[in-house]
Amino acid sequence: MEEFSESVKNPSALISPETFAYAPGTSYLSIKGVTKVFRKGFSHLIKKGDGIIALDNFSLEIGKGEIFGILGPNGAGKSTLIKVITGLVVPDEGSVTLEGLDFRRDKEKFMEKIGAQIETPVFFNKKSGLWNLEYLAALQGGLPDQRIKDIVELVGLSERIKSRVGTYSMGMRQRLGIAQAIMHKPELLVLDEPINGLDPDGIAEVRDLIRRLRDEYGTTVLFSSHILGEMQTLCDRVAFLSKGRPVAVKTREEIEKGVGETAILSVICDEPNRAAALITDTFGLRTKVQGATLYVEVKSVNTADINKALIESGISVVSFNVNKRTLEEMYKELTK
Amino acid sequence: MKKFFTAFSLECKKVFSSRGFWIFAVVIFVLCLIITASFRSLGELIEGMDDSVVSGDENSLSPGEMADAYQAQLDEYIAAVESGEIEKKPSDNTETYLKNMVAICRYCEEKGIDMSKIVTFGSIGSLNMSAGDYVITMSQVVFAFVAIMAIVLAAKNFSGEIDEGTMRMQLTRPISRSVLLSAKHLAVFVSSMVTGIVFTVFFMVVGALFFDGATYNVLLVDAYQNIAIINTYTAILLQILFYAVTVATVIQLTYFVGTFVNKTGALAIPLVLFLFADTVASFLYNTGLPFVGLFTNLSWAQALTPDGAPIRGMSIYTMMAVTFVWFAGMTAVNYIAFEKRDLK
Repeated sequence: MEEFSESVKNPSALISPETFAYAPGTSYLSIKGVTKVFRKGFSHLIKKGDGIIALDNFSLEIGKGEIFGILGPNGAGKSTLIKVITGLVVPDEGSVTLEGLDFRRDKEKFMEKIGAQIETPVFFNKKSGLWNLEYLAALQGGLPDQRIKDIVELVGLSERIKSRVGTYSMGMRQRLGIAQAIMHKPELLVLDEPINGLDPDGIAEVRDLIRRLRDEYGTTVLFSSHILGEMQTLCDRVAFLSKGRPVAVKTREEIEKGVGETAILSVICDEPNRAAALITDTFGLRTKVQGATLYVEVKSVNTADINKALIESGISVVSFNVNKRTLEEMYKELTK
Repeated sequence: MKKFFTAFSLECKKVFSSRGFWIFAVVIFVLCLIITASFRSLGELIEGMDDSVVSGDENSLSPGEMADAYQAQLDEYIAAVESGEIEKKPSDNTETYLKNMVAICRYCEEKGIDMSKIVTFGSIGSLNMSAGDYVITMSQVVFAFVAIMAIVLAAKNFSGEIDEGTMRMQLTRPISRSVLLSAKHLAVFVSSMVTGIVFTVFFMVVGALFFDGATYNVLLVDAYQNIAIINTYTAILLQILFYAVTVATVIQLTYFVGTFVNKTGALAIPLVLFLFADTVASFLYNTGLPFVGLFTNLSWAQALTPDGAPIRGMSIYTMMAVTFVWFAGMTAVNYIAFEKRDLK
């Protein structure tokens, strides 16, 4: 029972440690020195002249079987990075290799291994969802009908698959987008904002799906999202992007630790000023009193010790809350 | 190669299942039926008229006399130009036309051909009202619309798909950009040509059922007054072949323009160039700039009519070479630019 409630609080605990296929040091997808400048008009074709720098000498190594997240503010280069990997954007310099396959020289073999969903998926609106999937499956090189049927069922679109895509809701399009990305069982799944527009159930389903793909088929997943909590629970590693460069790459453990390192403690008690003096003297922490509430900036101190010290000195504590530093704050600091 | 055929069949399927294609097919069909009806009533009107008004009775001139008449006109024209009475513009085809007509009449006189039983190539609705003449005219109308349809389809399946974002989905598949582009090009070409040929065959049947069955011969004349006479059905085939070149070129032009502009531009620019080709050509030609011949209307069929090629004295072979250079150049730029292009 306790184990269950623990899992609910921390969904990442649902994954058993053995399923972490990623071994640090093994490089699967390797991005080396990729630079991309977006220019206007003809200089765009000849790759010369000034423009907006989307990726600036970008390098990143992603391991096999890893769920890798990309975080960054708008314009940091997340989408451009994903488009470079999927061959939609031609970089000015640099290379991308997937298990030794070069993205330019062995483009077809490279793309065979990839399943991608880029931004909001766009389909032929006047055709049915099934027509679209069959069309893309044929371009993929042909897939059995049963596989398409199974995938449709997996993403929960069986009932509406024969309706025109134009009549689909945003969430349904996202599901169809995920279906087309995974239908050929790709080795590397690249998802750009996969949970945009999904309802909470949908988000949970996508999260489970990503985990299942990795656990059952060893699929490597690279995805970008604005939903920070999702990154924290799902990704093995997260790259923080800013101005076309990865400013930090952190494992989930590091994020959890980093997030827990600094916390703001808010205490409501009868003598806040005396409590503040006591905490400053005993633990050397910064404090601030606002009305009956005392705020303490906690760093590598067991908060239980503070509570104990307060009670022992006769201060009656009404409420005692620990607010951990959020991933959002960490994100802001890193991408600033 | 397998990937090319897969993509090609998918593109064909897409074209034939698109609403735009069927709207065009219905419009072409209805317009052709209206033209057929007017053709019929015109034919009846002519039958009711005094024969001498039209042609082919004993009062009309013999080929030899007609040749003399055209020669007189030609001499008069040349004299007027020399005296400065008429300012001759580069695009003025009067001289070519008169020279050709003289040659045609002399040819008919020599071979003893009844001039009322021949039509010149590319003449729309000459008043013979035979089945063959009807089919040639219909085929011209059909292919003019087919070329417009090809531009619309090409703009839709290239720059349209890039604008909408559906191209993105296709390019994240294991298929190279150039293979996909060639498949799209060929699919639009094949579906357009199939439409044109199906309609032409249909109007052949209509022609055989409702029009005078006598087949008239078609006269071809080139810039050097070489003359050939072919039968109507060979002329139809030749015409389809020439239209195939036109259709392939307008599609390539649409893709070429689409490499640099969005869908609206990719639709509008080739349409304007196609519809106003003659105007644009004579405007450019009249400027008298060097190499302007490369930018004129390269309608091969026109080079075999008495009116002559848009550029005076240009032979059909030169036109073919210029067309080929244009086509190859546009194709090369199109493929290279598409390979380097970033997709939204």
